[in-house]
Amino acid sequence: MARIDPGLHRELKKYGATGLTACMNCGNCTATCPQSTDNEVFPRRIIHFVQAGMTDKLRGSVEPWLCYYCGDCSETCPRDADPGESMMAVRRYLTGQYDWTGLGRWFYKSPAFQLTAMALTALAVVLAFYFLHGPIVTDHVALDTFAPVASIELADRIGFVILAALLLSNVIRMATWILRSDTDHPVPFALLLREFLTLPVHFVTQKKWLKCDAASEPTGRSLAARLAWLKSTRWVRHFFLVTGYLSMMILVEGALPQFQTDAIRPWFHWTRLLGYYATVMLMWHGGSFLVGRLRKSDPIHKFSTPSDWMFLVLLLAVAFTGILVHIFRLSGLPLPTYVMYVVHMAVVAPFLIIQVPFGKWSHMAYRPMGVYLAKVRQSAREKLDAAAGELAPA
Amino acid sequence: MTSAVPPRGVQVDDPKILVFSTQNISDPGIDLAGSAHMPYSTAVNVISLPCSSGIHPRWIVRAIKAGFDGVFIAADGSDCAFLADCTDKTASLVKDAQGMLKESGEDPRRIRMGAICSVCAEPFVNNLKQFGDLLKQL
Amino acid sequence: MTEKRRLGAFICHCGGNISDFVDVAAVRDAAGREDDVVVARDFMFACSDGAQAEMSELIRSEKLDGIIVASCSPKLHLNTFRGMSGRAGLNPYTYNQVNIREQCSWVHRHDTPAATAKATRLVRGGLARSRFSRPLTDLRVETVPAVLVIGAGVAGIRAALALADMGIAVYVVEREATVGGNVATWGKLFPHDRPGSEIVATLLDDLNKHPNISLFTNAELTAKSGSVGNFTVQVQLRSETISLHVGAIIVATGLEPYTPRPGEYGYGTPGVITLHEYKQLVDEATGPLTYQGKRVKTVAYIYCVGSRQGSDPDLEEPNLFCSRYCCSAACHSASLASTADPDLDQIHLYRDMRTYGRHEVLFEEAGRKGSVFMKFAGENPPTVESSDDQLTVKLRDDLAGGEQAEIPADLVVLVAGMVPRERAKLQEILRLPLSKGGFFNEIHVKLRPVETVVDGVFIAGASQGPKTVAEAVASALAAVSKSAALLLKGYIDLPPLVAKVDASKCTLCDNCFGACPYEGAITRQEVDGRQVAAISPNICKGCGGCVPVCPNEAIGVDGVTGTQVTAAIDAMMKDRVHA
Repeated sequence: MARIDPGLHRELKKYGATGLTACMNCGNCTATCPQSTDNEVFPRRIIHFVQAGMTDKLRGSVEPWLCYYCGDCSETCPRDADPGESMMAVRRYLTGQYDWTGLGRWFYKSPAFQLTAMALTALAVVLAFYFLHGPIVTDHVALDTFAPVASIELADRIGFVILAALLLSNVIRMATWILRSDTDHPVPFALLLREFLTLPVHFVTQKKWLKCDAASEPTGRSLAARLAWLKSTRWVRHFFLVTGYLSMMILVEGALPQFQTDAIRPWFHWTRLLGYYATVMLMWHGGSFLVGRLRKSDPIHKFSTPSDWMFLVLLLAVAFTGILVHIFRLSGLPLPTYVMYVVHMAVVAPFLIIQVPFGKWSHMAYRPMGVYLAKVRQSAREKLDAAAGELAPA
Repeated sequence: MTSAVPPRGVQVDDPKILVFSTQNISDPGIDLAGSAHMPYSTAVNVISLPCSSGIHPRWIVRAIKAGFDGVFIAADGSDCAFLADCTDKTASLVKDAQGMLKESGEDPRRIRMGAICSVCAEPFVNNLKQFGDLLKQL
Repeated sequence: MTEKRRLGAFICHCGGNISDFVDVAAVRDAAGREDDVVVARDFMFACSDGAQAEMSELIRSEKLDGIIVASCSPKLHLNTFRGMSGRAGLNPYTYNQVNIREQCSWVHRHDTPAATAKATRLVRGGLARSRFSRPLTDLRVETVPAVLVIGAGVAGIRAALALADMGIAVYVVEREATVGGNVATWGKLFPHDRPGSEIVATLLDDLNKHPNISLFTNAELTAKSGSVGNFTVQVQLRSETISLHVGAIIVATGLEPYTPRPGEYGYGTPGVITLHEYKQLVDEATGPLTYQGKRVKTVAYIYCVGSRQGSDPDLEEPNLFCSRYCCSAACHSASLASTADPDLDQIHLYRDMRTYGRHEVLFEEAGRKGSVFMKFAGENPPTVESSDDQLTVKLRDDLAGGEQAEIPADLVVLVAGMVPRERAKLQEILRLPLSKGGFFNEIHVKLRPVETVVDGVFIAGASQGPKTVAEAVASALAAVSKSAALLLKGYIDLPPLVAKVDASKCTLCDNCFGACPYEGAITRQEVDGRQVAAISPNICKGCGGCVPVCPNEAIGVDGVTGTQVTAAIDAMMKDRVHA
């Protein structure tokens, strides 16, 4: 028995849900959803949890993370209630809920608050460089002297640990809520271990997304047809964007001394190639998403909240300032290189600090976690049902 | 087609049933079975009256004596426009007829009453099927 | 046997509808061999002009005194062929229709010999009834061009105005001191948000101006006598009783909002009110709603209160009907409340949303304005609890997969349905049958709406059953057209198929008096120096309820007399062998 919160739908409105109460629970959305299954039934039920103010049910729902916003539901909705956008808003809301610091909720609900926080972080970075930078060499580019790589790497590591800890603690809250929501099917710890591989596989591949396009998947063996199909999916764009991020992560977290160096490596050196690859992916796909949001061409891009715009602008800014640092360095322009380096850092730091644990970027953890938990729960159900079957009289 | 005396003795197995229907309610229900082409035995014959409470028990007994195997009263149920207690009155006269039939040595189950509304095509066909099956056993 | 008759038997092919499955020629020939049949023919379409002309000619040339047409259901063409008989000089009531389509060819499509045998049997039955038919004349009654309208709600007033416009005198009798009934007490009504009080004011204004209408408030009908076209009614006013002559009566006594039983969904607890009461709260609100001085932040509506009670085992006489207006009215009130206070949380607990027809937009609008809908099953209704000034509604939310939910509410609105107004006395006077829900019953909802079994008495508006204002007015105008059609001609012809007493057999046992549902239909009369029962043909409806109770078989309903029915039975069984 749960006491409901009649105002929950008003709260969700602040996260961008526009048509929550226009929904009459007909279930067309669920019927048309390519991701909805017998056990994970959505979007209708999730939307109803919001309508009916069932906060606990909503927090314990894994379904929002199984939705990839293909938009089929919004297209078939007879009330134009935009269930797809409601699911998106639920994900934003849940991101705020998982975050124990409470900052996430403020960032989402108040764009001004978020902007201020980002500006302050950027200012802190600039001030740090202003007071702590090394000697400024002006006759040639000596970035390592201006910003010694050992110090940068240390700050990098500290940041990484803090962000990872924040995100991990949120993920644990998420998992606890979800696993506790289904009291009929308790999940034994052994099962959590057995299915663990799901997590890295989906983190890297996001392959569940392809189910959104399953209807148009070619049935024949033709490789060309298959490639053409893959090219048409939204998954492929996102996947390459992710490879861009991962390349960047390898360079920054794993090989910073090789990456940030004053030595000019030949163009085919792996650090340069990986860097170029990441820049191209970030600019290309970030750009195409920006154009999509401006044109509102896909259902997913029909509605854009301030947090969506900020994310894309920052993404492009990171790539753009990064490549400028590189160009200035190659061109042997010391001062522009140092200035652009500080600008680059002033963009990257707030981007990571605000977005990874509190914002949109956290979905890199929540989504694979959702797929993993759904799978664990499914195994638990099957096990219990099988046991019940054995107990039943023949 | 050439004229001929109607062939006799076809489907002799089917019990001969006389149905008393009512002009406003059950007769339209029986008509509806026709409009829907729902088959029932050709041994079922209908006489339509204004109201089932106006059927004289003597007519029912007369029908059995004349050779019908059974008489079905298609009453209005609660739909009757004439009388609020139409069903009770009809039930009472059906009981009287059953008593008279028993006295003359016949099985009172040869008389049955059912509520058939103005759209009760399927209940009518089902009722008649069951009644026919019962009559076959008697 | 009886006197010789000259009968005609006409068998219809109905295109192929009959002749595809029945050997029509065989039926025709068998009919031709029956006693007293002087002519037997078959026609491709008996109802066609050509066939009717040919039959008329045969009636005349063969001097027929009784005919049958074996064709479709009498519902379709009984009046067609009665009319044809009359035009050809044959008494229309010597005509009998035999249904060999709906009740023969259409149900026996795979056995032509058996279907043919059955058709023959039905034709023999019909001929037997025609053989014992008597020529009858319609009962012509002069009519009084005035109508009594009972009830001055929207239905009653609208009916009065329409009748008065046609030049008919109208007496409107209203029990209350004021007119307008329920509608007058309501504010904005769907669909156009025009206040009910304003609608009533407009109607009343027109009524007062109309010279043909007399309005009596604080007035009640106390007695009725006479019959269709010529009633005398007694109306009790405050200080006197007046007598009025009218040709027809329209009953528009309206509805009563259902009052929940004490404790039904917490009714009686402060904060638990009916939609009727809530509507007034909303009508008066200009900003956030207040109830007993406190601001209302959350409203929970419970639908189907007092309607569709079939799954409640505790009720002896449950209201099985849907009250029709309540879903729409609740959604409409919710939208009005949202407009008054956009921050108001509104949760609707409903069984099935029946905002039918164009009312669907009310449901959608309520949702868009922030109302939330939760569904429950009839056998699992919500409960209302109250503690420390806080109401809690508990329900099993089927839309959330059966989740138990506790809803905190400041106000619980019971969306109560409609029940008939207190009308025991009126029913006693008018002798109108009631439906299961206690509303007045029409003869047939589709074929004879607003007509009652009492000729000349019509029902209108919500006295017939739950209705919206628009529907009530539509039914009122239907009653207007039926009564005007009756009265404007100046006379009416009543079918003479009524019960008759054979005075020579009557012993005045009184059984028939008790069996007859129609006030004054059976009276005592002196015939040949003996007191016997006599039946007034103007009041008798010909149901035949008196026939079986007569120990002497002295009563028969024309068209289906004992002689006719037994002759039909015998004729059907003529061969003793069935097909």
